[in-house]
Amino acid sequence: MNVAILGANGFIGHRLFEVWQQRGPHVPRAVVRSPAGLARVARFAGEWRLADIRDATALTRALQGCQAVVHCVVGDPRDIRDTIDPVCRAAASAGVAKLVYLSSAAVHGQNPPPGTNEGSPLRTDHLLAYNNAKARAERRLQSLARRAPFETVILRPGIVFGARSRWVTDVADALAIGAAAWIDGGRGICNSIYVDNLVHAIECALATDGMRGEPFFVGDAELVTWRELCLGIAVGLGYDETAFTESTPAPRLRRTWSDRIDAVRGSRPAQRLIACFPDAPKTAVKAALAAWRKPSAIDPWALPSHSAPLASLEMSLLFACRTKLSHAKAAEQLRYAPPITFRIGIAQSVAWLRAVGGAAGRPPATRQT
Amino acid sequence: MRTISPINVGLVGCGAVAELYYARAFAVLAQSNVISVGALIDPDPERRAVLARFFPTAQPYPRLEDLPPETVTVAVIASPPRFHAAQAVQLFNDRCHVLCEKPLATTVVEAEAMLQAARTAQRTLAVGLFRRFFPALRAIGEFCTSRLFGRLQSFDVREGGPFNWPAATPSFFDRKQAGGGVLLDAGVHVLDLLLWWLGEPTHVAYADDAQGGLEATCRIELGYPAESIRGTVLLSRDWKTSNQWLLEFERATVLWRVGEANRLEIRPRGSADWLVSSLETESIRGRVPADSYPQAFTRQVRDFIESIRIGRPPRVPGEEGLRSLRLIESCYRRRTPLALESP
Repeated sequence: MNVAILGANGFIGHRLFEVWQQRGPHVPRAVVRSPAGLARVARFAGEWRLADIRDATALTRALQGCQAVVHCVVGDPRDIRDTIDPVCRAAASAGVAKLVYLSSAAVHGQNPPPGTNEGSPLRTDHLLAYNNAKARAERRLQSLARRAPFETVILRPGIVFGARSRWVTDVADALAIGAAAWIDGGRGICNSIYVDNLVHAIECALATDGMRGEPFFVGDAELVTWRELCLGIAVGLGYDETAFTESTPAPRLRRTWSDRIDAVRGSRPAQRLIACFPDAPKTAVKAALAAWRKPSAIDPWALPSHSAPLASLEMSLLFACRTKLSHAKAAEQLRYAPPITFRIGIAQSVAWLRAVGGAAGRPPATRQT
Repeated sequence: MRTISPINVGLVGCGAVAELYYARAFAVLAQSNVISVGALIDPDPERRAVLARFFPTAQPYPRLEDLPPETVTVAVIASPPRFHAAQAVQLFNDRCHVLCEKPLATTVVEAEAMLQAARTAQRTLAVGLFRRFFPALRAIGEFCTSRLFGRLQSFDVREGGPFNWPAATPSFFDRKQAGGGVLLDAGVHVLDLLLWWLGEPTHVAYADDAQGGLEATCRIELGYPAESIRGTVLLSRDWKTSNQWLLEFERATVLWRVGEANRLEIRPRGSADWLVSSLETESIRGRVPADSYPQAFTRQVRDFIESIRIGRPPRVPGEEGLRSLRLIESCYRRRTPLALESP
């Protein structure tokens, strides 16, 4: 089957493109927004197209001749919401038969309540804007999928790890600069999925007929803790558990004023309103906000501190997770059976890290979406 | 006082490097009357218009063939690499001096043809390897030759990150147009510096991740047995590397962070402390900060213009571009696959 991969330059999209280039069974066509997005894709002599997926006309051209589409594009919350409609319009215009959308287990938050399953209602009052955007995108896709001329499967992976994953490189980066930390000894549940298991899930979704926007959790077979994920990478790189310090969770698991301002600024009505103002007052407001957010100066008399690092809100929520999301529905309806064990997934991730020079001396990581 | 008239320059290729680098340097040099920009050559009218905003009096031409003879004294070639050789030869035939953006060409054969054409026309060919104008890298070269910190023992170079150059077209990723991947792109700078400091390596091993296309990540092992120096170079346009050069001398470790033109970090052997230093230059007006990254680029262009004006060789002549190309071709000939993922 000819399958277009939207976001083929990203971590998951590229691995999918790579696996299908190397061993099939599908013929991938990479779709990326700009020429710069071709750097990874160009390793292969495969097919590619340039198209902004928010532009349904350009995307329709890029999808011509494909029987299926896999939507792996991430981006900021607005991109996540705003790409659903043009992708569906383009898929319909190009005569695509199947759409696989990569959503996220985060639609139920980083720490979903026990008993959460695919039938649990979607919430849009999460603390993190990413979760809400994914939930809104899913809702929109489910409503479009009911009357779309193509079949749709929604996959909800949790923590996708593997070569190029932030969950691997962030740990390696932190280890390299002596800043590795976990919360509560890493006892929280990590709803992990090795990237090649996600590739398998996508292949299962493409092989299953009759889906109209059904969501499925997909994950590794094992129950994995954050300790196992972090320590697996550390041991592979020659460290042990003494490399980790206990981190302090974010003090208040609720939105700060800063978060709320960002949420309002990022909303569509606010963006329209902001566009009406001239640059000078906008710059002044931005400067005032930046000054207000500036962290307080460090006491020049204080000695360098080795106190426990403060975890981000996202990590605080993730490390508090006590729920293993079940992929029983995917196993039953998509015949999903993760082929790679967690242990092998970690070994392969570490092998990649070593092949590309490990993390020695690397600077602190920047957050990837 | 004798007035020196500006040298008339033509810009061949109006893509991202022309807009982000050459236009800025040209504007500074035009303001001080060192050059005037007389011609902008690019097949894309939109790209010509972008550059015309910097140089409104320059004449636009869609093709190099349209440039009337003797319109410009000097041409800077900033087009995709596959055009470099043919354009340079044509410019030499038109009696122009040429500063060619790196890589000098996509093959050694093309580069040799360019040099031959320059010699025949008795014109100057320089190559845009502007890192040679970074004060920090000049200092490292001096450490290597003066042995201030003892003999260089090893080096570990890691450069690159997810590709974010604002390429105007996909030509970067087309083998026919680009000629190679990350090795022929960032690798040209890296290998040029190592050749400049250490000469030709006698041991070369090379692996990359290309699978029918252009490499995004490569690893090079270099050895200089006479000096007992070994080093590795890791280049990537796929994932973020540490972007740093670590050089182990007998009595100190020297660290250079990629892009920091006038800053070095030095740790004496046995010490836990790093000396982090910005370089300054003695001048008749006292000590001034050494050239920054953009200033080094401007200095490269000015060096070339001055070489034409006073008839001396440029600091980085075309022959230097040929050396790094030879080493790159040697790497590609020895290519082994870099296994990044399991099948």
